[in-house]
Amino acid sequence: MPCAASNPTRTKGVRILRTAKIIQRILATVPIVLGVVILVFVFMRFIPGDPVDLMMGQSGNVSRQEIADLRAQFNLDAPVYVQLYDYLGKAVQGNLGESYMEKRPVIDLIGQALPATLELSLMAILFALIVAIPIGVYSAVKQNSILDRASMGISFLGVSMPGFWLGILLMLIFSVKLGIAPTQGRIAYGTGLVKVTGFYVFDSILTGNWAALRSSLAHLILPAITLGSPTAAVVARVVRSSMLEVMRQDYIVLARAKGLREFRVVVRHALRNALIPTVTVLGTEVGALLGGNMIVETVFGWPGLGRLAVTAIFNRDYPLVQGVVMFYALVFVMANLGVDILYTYLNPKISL
Amino acid sequence: MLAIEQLTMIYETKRGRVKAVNKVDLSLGTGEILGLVGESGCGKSATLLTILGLVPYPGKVTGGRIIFQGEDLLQKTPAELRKIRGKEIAMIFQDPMTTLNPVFKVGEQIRESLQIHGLMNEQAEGGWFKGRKRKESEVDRVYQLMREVGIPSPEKRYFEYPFQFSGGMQQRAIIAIALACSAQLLLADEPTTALDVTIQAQILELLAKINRERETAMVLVTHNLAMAAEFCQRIAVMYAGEIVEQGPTDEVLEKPKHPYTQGLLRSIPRIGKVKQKLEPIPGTVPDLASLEDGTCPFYPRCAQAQPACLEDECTLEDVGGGHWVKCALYN
Repeated sequence: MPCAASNPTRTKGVRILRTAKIIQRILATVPIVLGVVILVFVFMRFIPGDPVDLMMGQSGNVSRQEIADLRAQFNLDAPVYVQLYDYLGKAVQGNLGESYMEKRPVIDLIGQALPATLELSLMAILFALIVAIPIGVYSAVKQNSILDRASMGISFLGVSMPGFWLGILLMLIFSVKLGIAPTQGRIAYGTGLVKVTGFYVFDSILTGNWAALRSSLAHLILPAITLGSPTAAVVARVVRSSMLEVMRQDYIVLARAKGLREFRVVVRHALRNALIPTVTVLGTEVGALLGGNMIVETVFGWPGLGRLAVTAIFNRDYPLVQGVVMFYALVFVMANLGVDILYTYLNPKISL
Repeated sequence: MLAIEQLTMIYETKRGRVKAVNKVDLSLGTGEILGLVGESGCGKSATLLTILGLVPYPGKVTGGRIIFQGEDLLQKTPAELRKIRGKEIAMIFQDPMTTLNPVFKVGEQIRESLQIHGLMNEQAEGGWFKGRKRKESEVDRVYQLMREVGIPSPEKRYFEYPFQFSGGMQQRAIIAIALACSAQLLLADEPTTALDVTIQAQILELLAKINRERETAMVLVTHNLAMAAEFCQRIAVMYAGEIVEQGPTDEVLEKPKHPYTQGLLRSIPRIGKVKQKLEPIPGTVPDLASLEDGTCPFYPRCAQAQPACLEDECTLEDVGGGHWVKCALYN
């Protein structure tokens, strides 16, 4: 049905209220992110192993004086709370320090990696939804059919299969055997892509560079499937069970009694209701997706936040780890806020 | 306008065939109100849903005819049935609180009926803003319908969601959906059971008004005999999937023939009688899956049972004045 006839005086008030509430919710995320940063800051310093040791460890002939100098240079000789105070003071000004290993500002490294991670994650969610919703709906409508049983079996596999294993499996089939998808990186050399936003798919469309579009999509597809599969499996199951629940409701009988086509009954009247629990689950899946990112990005050599985090942790690159984790927390909180906002549109009983 | 002949609908279950609707005969004239009375689970709602072609899974119609406006609904294709559903035959449900879709605005749910049956199409032929014009006339019509069923300030309530409506108002909105396409036949499945007593009277009054003004024929399913007495011109009593007695309301209530109807009437408490003795019907409704063909389903509970009851299957017999009974006593 085309969008509802609108009632201008009422909806305007609702809209202003909604905006105010959203701003309030964004402000409420500040303490959460701050808490995460402090926790990570302290824990990193409790983990055995020290960045200076790691840097110097290999060369062997380093004097105590040199090590002490390096400690002082990184401000590692001060007590932890002083280090934290200094770090937070700079962080609020947008200075997250400099990576020990790369010798570049952390914020630059993150700025480079963030679009890669977001592009991969969005693609993974898109894949999950496009695959899972039709499967879930169909399985519910044709309950106990062969396709229902098969897809629920596969989804069970999808939930329990570790990401690195699926990634390697896909790589073996599509890259090694069939040779139709690359195994590493985001784009092939020599496509001459001009970076605008850092989202390669978007950039190549923006600049009309079709070779780059093809290459970036080819690079994106396997990691996106690997990352999105567990989510797809969970979503398909939730959609199926909530569709089964919804299809039993009285309002479905009313919809049929009105003379609607079965397709419209299922998609408009049933699915709209079944999406409410689905979106709730999607919110919790964002966390799993961010965790999966680290593994998938490492397996596929994807230059995103996840791989950056893994390398930084191995190197005890304190500022980089802190910066990356802070962004992870931000993305997670924002994604959940997005889910909550989406929720208010789906369920008229809920407001922010 | 509606004539149901020997309609049988069964549920194929693991324990056997359950005859939810067993050789039901019903007829209804234009503007007439027929009460379908019986205990819970006797097949009243199943009969209504079968008329609409919405037999609940895993039900199957195995015999009979449903003649509506001279055509057999059981012979129609699904697409033809969809055109009749909601347009020629509309239905009102038992529990208004769960019958409206919770995520759509009430007004939009009423408008959907107009929209899918294309009722306002001719108002907006041609022109650039055809869709918009049609929508405007649809919305106006919805306001009009909401006023007609007694929903105050429709310009405001059009945009509200079902949870913002009280039960009575929700039932009015459902009635508005049923009226949207001016159906000639209204199937009301216990439309007041879930409502407060005062609201019940209002909803019944509304249905009576619709029947008076629009000459809409109605089948009113109820287990409330008093309501049927007040509201219906004719009554059909159902037991275990079968019509056991059918006739003009006064006839059936004052001179009940079938032992089940007699028992039903004796078990109703009457206001005004002091220290009355209620006589419930002994026993319980039989398990429909274990019923044997050809025997009277009421036999085990019947006070007037006799050997003849087990022999031949009875048919509905006219006992005079359009009063029909299915019982060996009158065969």
